[in-house]
Formats: sequence, C-alpha cells, structure tokens
Amino acid sequence: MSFIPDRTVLSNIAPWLASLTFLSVSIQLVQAEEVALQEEALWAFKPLSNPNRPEVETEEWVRNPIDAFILSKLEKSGLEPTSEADRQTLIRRASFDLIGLPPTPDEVADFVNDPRSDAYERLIDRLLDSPRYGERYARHWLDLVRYADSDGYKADQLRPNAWRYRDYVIESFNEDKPYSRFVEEQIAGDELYPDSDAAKMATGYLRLWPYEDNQPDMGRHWEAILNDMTDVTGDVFLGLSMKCARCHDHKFDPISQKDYYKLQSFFAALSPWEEVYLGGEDAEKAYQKQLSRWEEATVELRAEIEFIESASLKIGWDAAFAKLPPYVQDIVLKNERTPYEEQLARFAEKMIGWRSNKDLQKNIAKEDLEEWKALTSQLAEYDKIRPMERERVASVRDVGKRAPKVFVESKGKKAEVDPGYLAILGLEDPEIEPVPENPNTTGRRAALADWLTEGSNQLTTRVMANRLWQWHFGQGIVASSNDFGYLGDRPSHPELLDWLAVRFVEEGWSLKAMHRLIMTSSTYRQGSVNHNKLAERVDADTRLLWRMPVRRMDAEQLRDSMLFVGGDMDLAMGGPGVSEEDSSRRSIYVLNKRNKLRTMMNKFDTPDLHNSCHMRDVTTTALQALSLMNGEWSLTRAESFAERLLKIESDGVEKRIVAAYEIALGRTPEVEEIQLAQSFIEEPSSPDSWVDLCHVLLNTNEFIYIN
Amino acid sequence: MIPHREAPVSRRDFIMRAGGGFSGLALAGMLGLDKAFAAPPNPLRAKVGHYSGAAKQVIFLFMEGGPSHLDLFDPKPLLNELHGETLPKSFKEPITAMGEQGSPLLGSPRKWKRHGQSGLWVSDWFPHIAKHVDDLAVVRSCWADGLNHVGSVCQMNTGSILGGRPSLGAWTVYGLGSLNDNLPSYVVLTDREKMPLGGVRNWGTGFMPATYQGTLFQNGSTPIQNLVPPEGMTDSRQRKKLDMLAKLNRKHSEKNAFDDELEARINAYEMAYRMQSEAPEAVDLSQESESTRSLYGLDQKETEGYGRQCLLARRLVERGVRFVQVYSGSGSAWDTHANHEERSTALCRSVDQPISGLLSDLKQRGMLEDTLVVWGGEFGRTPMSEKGNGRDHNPFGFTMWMAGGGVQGGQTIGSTDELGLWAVSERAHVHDIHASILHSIGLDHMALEFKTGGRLERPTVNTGNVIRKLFA
Repeated sequence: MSFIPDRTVLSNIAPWLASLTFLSVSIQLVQAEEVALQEEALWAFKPLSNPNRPEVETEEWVRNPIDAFILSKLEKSGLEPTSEADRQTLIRRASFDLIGLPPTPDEVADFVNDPRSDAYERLIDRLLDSPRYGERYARHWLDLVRYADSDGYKADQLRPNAWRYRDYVIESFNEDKPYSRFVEEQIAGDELYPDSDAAKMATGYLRLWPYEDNQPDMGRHWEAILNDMTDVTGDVFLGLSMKCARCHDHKFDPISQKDYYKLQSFFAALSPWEEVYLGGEDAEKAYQKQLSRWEEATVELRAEIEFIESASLKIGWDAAFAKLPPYVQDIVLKNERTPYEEQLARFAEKMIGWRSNKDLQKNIAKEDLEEWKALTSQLAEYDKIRPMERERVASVRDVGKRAPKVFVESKGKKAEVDPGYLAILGLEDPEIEPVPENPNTTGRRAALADWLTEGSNQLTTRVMANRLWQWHFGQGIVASSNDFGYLGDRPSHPELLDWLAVRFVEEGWSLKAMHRLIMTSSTYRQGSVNHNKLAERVDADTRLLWRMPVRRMDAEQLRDSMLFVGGDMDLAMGGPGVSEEDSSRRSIYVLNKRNKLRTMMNKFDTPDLHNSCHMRDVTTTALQALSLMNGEWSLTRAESFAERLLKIESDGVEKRIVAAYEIALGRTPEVEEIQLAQSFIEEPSSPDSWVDLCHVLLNTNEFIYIN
Repeated sequence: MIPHREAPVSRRDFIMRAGGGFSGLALAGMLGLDKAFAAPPNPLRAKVGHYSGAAKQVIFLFMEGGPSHLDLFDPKPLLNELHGETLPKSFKEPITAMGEQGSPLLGSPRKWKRHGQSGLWVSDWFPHIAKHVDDLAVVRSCWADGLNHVGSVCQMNTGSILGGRPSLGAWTVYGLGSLNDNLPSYVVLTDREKMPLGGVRNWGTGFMPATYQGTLFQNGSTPIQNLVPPEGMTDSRQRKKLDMLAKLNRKHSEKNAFDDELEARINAYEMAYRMQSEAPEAVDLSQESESTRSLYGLDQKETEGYGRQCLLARRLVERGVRFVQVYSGSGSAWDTHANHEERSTALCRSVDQPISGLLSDLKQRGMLEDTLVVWGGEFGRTPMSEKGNGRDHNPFGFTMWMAGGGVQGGQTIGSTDELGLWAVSERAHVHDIHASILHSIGLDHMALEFKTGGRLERPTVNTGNVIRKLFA
C-alpha cells in the first residue's frame, strides 16, 4: 500500500485532487482484491489435500494433531491458548455438548475425584455410550433437514408417521452408523436397501417439505416441492446455496442454472408413498394371515356396506373431480400416462380420495343411512379379529424406471437436462441404470448417494467435518456451514478442515470417533475465561480459539435442563410427538408444528421449520425474561426443584443451599454465595422461600451459559 | 433496547449486511474502520432509513379473507348490466379457488357516490371512510400470486406465498430499529380470538433472528404472554427475586469475559420488569375521553370490537411502536363465498366507523404525516358468483388504499377491466405495494438486505417497484 499518496500531503495542495486520486487508487486496489477474493472463493471445490501437521513451539500443549493446527495459528498471531478448564467446568461442558443435559452432583463428584490418568477420556466414552447422546445430536440434524411433524400451509395437518424419521436419526447417531450409510439411506434408501426398516424410515428425509393437501394446482405445487428438495439437499449435503441458481446462473458462485436442474433431476422421478410398512416379511405374513381371517368372516357384511357406500363415493368423487383444474382432470382420466402425469395423478387421486371420504356419510342416501349405520356397527364387532394397523412410514418411490424430463428454461428457451454434477468439479455425468437391489426404479438417487459418499468427495466430507467442529465449538471452521461459496465465510483453518475431512473418511465415517478426537484435544479442554486484551482485540470472535467460546443453552438444552434439575424428566425414548408444556419427555420429542410457534422454546430461537437451519440464532429479549420469570411452566420447574431440596432435613439450610448449587450449576457455592442465599431465604420453614431461590437460580446467567 | 448478539457476527457479515460487499470491506480496511465493527451492534437501536423526511410508523388494517373491491371502491356498471350472464368470451376465465366454472356474474346492488373534493368513488358500505377520500390514495390495480387464503395472507405479509420469509413488519424493525424501550416494536392485533390463517408465520421472521418478530397482543389487560407474575407473587416478592438475580448475575459477569452478552441478558430482565407496568398502561382504553371512544365507535355494539383495536393501534403508535397490524375478521371472516351481501354488510359496518375514527384522530393529533395507514385484504373477490349469492377469491385484480405517511390523497391509481376481474392498467403486484410501504417509511426495498444461507435477501424477493404516483 506504500504507493498510495499520502492524503494529508495531497490535501494541502488541492483538496479536490486528493479525494479524486484517493478514490481512483482505491478502486484499482479494490478491483485487484476482488479478483484475488474470487479465486480464493473457489477453495471449496478444490480436491481434498492431506496436509502435514504443522510444527509448533509449545509442543507439550499438543495432545493430538488438531492442537498443532490451532496452536500454529495462535503462535503466528502472537497469542497463547488458555489454560485447561477445571474438572467441574469440563464435565458440565462435555455433558451439555454430548447429551444436552447437566451432570448430576454424583457424576461431578465422581469425575472430580477420579484419580486415573484417563479420567477425562473415560468421561467422554461414557457420554458417547449414553442413549441421551443420540437424542442430543439428532436435534442438530433435524434442524438441517427442516424436520417438522406437520404439513405447514393452511391446515398444517399433522403427519402421523413423521416421528419415525426422527427416531431413525436418533438411533443412527446412537449406533454410530457410518455417515456414508446415513446419507445413502436418506437419499436412496428405497433403491439401495429396499428391505431395511431403517432405510425405509430414512427416506422420510425426502418427505419433509411443506405440503398443502388442498392445493388443486398440482403442477405448480409439485414444482415448488422439487425445488425445495433440491435447495435443502444443496444446503445440507453439499454446503452450497443452490437456490439462486434456480432462476438464473448464480451471480457469485460457479453454479449455473443448468447445474441446479441437473441436481434436481436426481429427484425427478420420485413420488410420495404411504404404503411402506415396517417389520419385514414375518410381520407382513402374520398381518395378511389375520387379515384374511377377518375378511372371510366379514365378506357379506362388507359387500353390503360397499354397495351403499359406492353411491356416496361416486357423488364425492364427482364433486371433488369437478373442482380440479382442467389440466389435472385430463390427467386423471388418462389410461396411459407419462411419468410426470403419473406423479400429478397420484396427488390428484389422493385429494379426490380424502375429499370423497370426508363426505362419505353426508353423501349416503337418506333412506340408506339407518341401514348403513347398523351395518357398520355390526362390522365393528369383528374388530376383535381384525389385525392391528401395520406400522408404516411416509416414504417415497420412483414412479417407474423412466423419469419425467427435466428442463432448464432460460430467456424463453427450454433445454432438457440429465442428472449430473456441478460443472466446476469437472466430473463426468453418471450413466444411470436401475440398481440390482431395486430394478423397478430409475436408480437416479442411488447414483447421487454413490457420489455423495465417495471418500474423495470434497464437498460432503468437508461439510460434515465442519459441522462436527461447529457442534463442539459453536461455530465452524467455516462459519457459514451451509454455504461454502463466495458469499459464505472463508475457513479460519483450511488445513485443519482438510485434515479432519480426510481423517473422518479414514475413521470409516464414524461420528463418535471424531467427537472423541475433537473433545480430547487440548483445544477443546481450554478454559473459557481469559482476560487477554491483545487476544480480545486481534480476535474478538474467537475464530482462532485462544479460549473456549461460551455458549448459551439452546431451547432444547434449556427446557431439558429445567426438567432435569427439577427431577421431573421422563427419559422414555421414541414414539409420536408430545406437548411441550404438558409432557416431561425430552425436547427432541416435542411435536414440531409448523404453524404453532408461540411457545417458550420458540422464544429461545428454535428454527422456523421451513428453511434448513445450520446454526441457531442467539437472541436475548424481554419476552424470554418474561417467560422464564412469570411463565407457569418455569415456576412449576422451580417448585419441583424446591421439593427436592425440602427433602433434606429441615435445619439444614446451608446443606440445602449447597445442594441447590450442585444440582443447578454443578458446583459448590462459595461462602459468600451461601451467605447471600441465607439472607435471601428469610423464612427457611416456608417452602415459598425455597421455590423463589430455585426460580432465581434457574434464571441466572450461570445456569443458561455454558463455559 | 433489547441487546442481542447475532451469530455469527464477523466483520464481513456486518459489512455485507450494511450493503457494502467486498468493495466496502476493502475500503473500510483502508480507511481504518476495522475497529468500528468490533462491538456487536444492538439490533434494535433506532436507525435512520435510506431517505430523510419519511414517515416513521405503519398501521396496516388487514381485512382478512378478501374484501370485495367491486362493492367498495371499484364500481363496474357493466357488471350490473350483465348480471346473471356468464363471463363474456372476451374476458379470460381464471382458475378459481373453489373450482366453480362458468358461474353467472353477480351484479352489485351498492349505491355509489363521488365524495370529497377529489370526487373519488366509494359505495354506501363505507359512508364514514368516504369522508376521508381526500386523504386516500386508492390503488385499484393490485394483484397477487396466490389463490388460497393461507398462501395469499402469507404473501401479503411476507412477499411470498410459501412460508419461511420475514414479514414486512420484521423487515421494518430490522431496517429502522425500535422507537421505544418498553414495548415490542411490532404488534399484531386481532378483533376476535381466531388466529389469522397461517398463524404466527404471518408476523414471523423466517430466516431472520426472532428479535424482529411481531408480538400478537391478547385481548384484555395483559396483552403479552406471561406479562403478569403468577398469582400469589407480590410485587415486593418479585422485586426481591429480581434483585437477587441481578446480584448473582453481576458476580458471574465479574468472573467471565464475555460481558456484552451477559449484560444484555441482565438488561432484558429489567426491561421485562418495566414492560409489566408499561404494557397494561398502553392497552388501558379507559384513559381515553368519551368523545374519543365514541369517535372509534366504542359506544356501539357493532363497531366496538374493531374500534377498540383501532384505538389501541393509535395508542401504540403514540408510544413508539413501529409497525401495528390490525386484523378485521381474523381467521378469514371476509371470505364471503356465500351470502356475500348479508355478511359483507355486517363486516363493513363493523370497520367503517372505527377506521374513519382512526384517520380523524391521527389527523387531529398531527400524527398522520408520520404514520402510514394501509387498508386491504389478501385479495379481492370475483365478479362471477359462487353458490348463487357469493363471490370467490380474486387475486387477479383488487383494491387497496393508503393514507398519511407522505401519500398524496384524493387519487385513484390503476384500474381493473370492465368487470373488475383482472388488473389492467398500472398493475400493482404485492411486491410493488410492499416496496411503496417501505418507501413511505424511508426504506429502499432494494437496499434493505439481509444475508442468509449465502444469499442476500431483500424484502420484495428482489423485484417490485415503488408506485411513484402515491407520493407525487
């Protein structure tokens, strides 16, 4: 920059000239910088490197190669890491991080007093083995894929089987399913593993789009759904914001509009499928056997009912059909359909079906109604031998071996595109054929899954390695973890990111191996309090990790902790969603209704359930304070918490205070804190005093921020 | 103020949000501005818009369900002539929401008159609002993308028929910050218990932080959820708890190094405590004089419901609330598929005097210049009948009006075809309406940017033009 004329000198000569010269020089500099930035912006598309562990001065700090990468940057910036956090802090941090719950006083004591040299490693292993781990980490994933238990739009219909996908994610994390398999099952479970229950549930990923079951313009709706699926897949698996390229070539990233539709083509043949059952062949055989018993016993009865109903259904069918737009009516009446028409027809038939069933009773002729009622109640008597509904999942299948054509439309011109990868990667587009595991589908999604899970795929591997880092440190090596493109952030430690990505594949895509690696590093074990002014100035955002960033509990950690501390938590796993207010199950099981967001958890920044959420917002508002201070739910938690304390002998005021600190904050109070609490508890015999103290503790910053 | 730290707050992020891009970054670096970005900006501090001299606040009167422009502001003599006939071939027949095809046209039995000096047409359903025509700019050529309510209400609020985008109120608060310390900056009022269709996402923030979201006021003396401490909690007991909390939090802050966030949370509790007394005061209409109350129609059964909400809107604007939305018929009451005449008569009656009262009141208090009042629904209604005596949804052409906030009153902008089915001249898409609302309060819809998921998002999805005539 030395060639910039000194402004002050210049402005003494001619102020207007100075500003002019300064401006033009600035513009040239800016342009040069932009070109450099643009090249640098392509970093994510470069193949994975296998960087060497850097040399560092303070070698004794390095526990594993992660530390060398972090320390080398710190040393270059003249910074030092913070000394290791104490054990109380470490167990609280690790517990919230891995299982989303605070440690119990006993767990803290055991860890603090554990004399073994590998006490910390044992702690991490214990937490990773806990089924609570899957419940914690599934939430990260559900945010990404915009999981919800309802359709959204007007009716916001409940999706009665959506929770199976949620349970699948929990189970996958708990069993440390290789990430590659996890991806395959979600993208193409029906093609690659058609007989696996896990894969059936996994394809729920392709059903998470918002849906309006009362939308007659099905062509437009299906287009919106496919776009949504394409966008989210770009966000989640590729870390690329594809959305801009839907209507035009991306203005900043090397993603063309054609690339967008090539990615979309992988999904072009699918259609939602409801008749997908769990339990394998034996369960199916047993079901069919029982079903035929019931059917035989009710043949005549059902025939009579059907006879009456058929007239009603015909009326309903006609009415529903009449309300479809003409182009959809044409498709419904066709005998031979193209794959695209087949997709729309499936939507149309579903709509006609639910509409005519809805009006079934209404449309029964008056003179038949009494008889119909009598017959149906007779039929109900056979429910004893009727088989239970089979467990089913909301899944997808391709409509056949042929896919609808996908076009890219630009400036009025239409061109057909085939499935393929981003042009900038320089890969050949795949030759796609039905896979042997399932010859009845296009095999397109299997091909996509295949590419995504190649060890050499620089996008999938880097994106997931970065997410793991973010989940432990609060922000990723690339802070914009859904966007590795030009508008996203640059990696703070590009070599470390590649090293982690390579290691991830070497570890067989094991998430637990990576958690262990990251959490046993010196980097992760640092304290979070460091009054280093230089560091504050050079790196206020703690990108270089000179200390452990402090994190506010997210909504789930907060709700779960309050239930846990009050001793109210119900640790039952799985099953349909539950009420946030009335249930004491873990928050991962709280029903996610897209249109109902007025709850305590929403105030603490739960995602909007429409967009892929790569990182929670952290807002601080008066409405949060009102909800924690005045909300009935919060007060009930304080009451439960106080009840626990009141079980301690009545003259043990100090004992109770100590217990309160240990339960809520995971540490023993200092003398001054005990005195403060004693003077707060004016009436030790009044339960209200204890409720108030507990309520205050649940509201403290120390409770809600994790060091 | 509600302090809030947005994550991630990086220098790049901040500059991108400020609209500077990479050039801005480079320049800022050269000018030694780095330090200016070290502290996280308070997201709700009052900000200056893109233009000076603009209005400051918005009241959006939302007739949910879709009021009939054909019976209110857009008279169509031909419609009465062709009453009972089918739509002539020369008019393109749209896909209708309810799928009735070829239904006969339904004439309008309204009596029409020109009003005010400007001579604008208003029907006998709005005799009180008609007195204000010289302050109204009536846009007759509005159109929208959606066909069903939930998508269309969503679009009128967020610009998109799909969920996931911030509402216009959220963009406003994001762009201009808050004008008060003790109340939410964006308030939603409804005249009955039902929620507007689509619920909270109509005032949600989509991809933006929740800081900017609207707060739905409950009816009664405690408008905000959890505003009042639970029963049995005396003020002194609560104060004692808050003092204890402050002590523990201060002590914790001393030990920790991330002061601004902790400080923000301490302040949030104090603000919550102030809100407990301020918010009930704000909604206490008994402080208003008898004449004001009757101006809004609070003394009549038919107009009391919406009148209360309109009066409340004025009190909130007075106290610095930035964006107030007042739903009439929340849950789609204006959706008159059948018995259009009877139902609309009652609905119009319920809002006419309250809205007129609001306009008079704002004007006499000198508040109309700084407050933009917007009236409309998510769409209008069809000239074709439905179920014999109803009208179906019409997003193809409908009317909205604006007053105050720098709007030039006494004018009609744009037109629909001779039957009021399609907007034909000076067509105004929802994005144009939104761009104009933002313009009125000093925000340029193409310069107001928020970075998310690698995209720079703008309130009108990167399209839309300000309807210049509004401000001529």
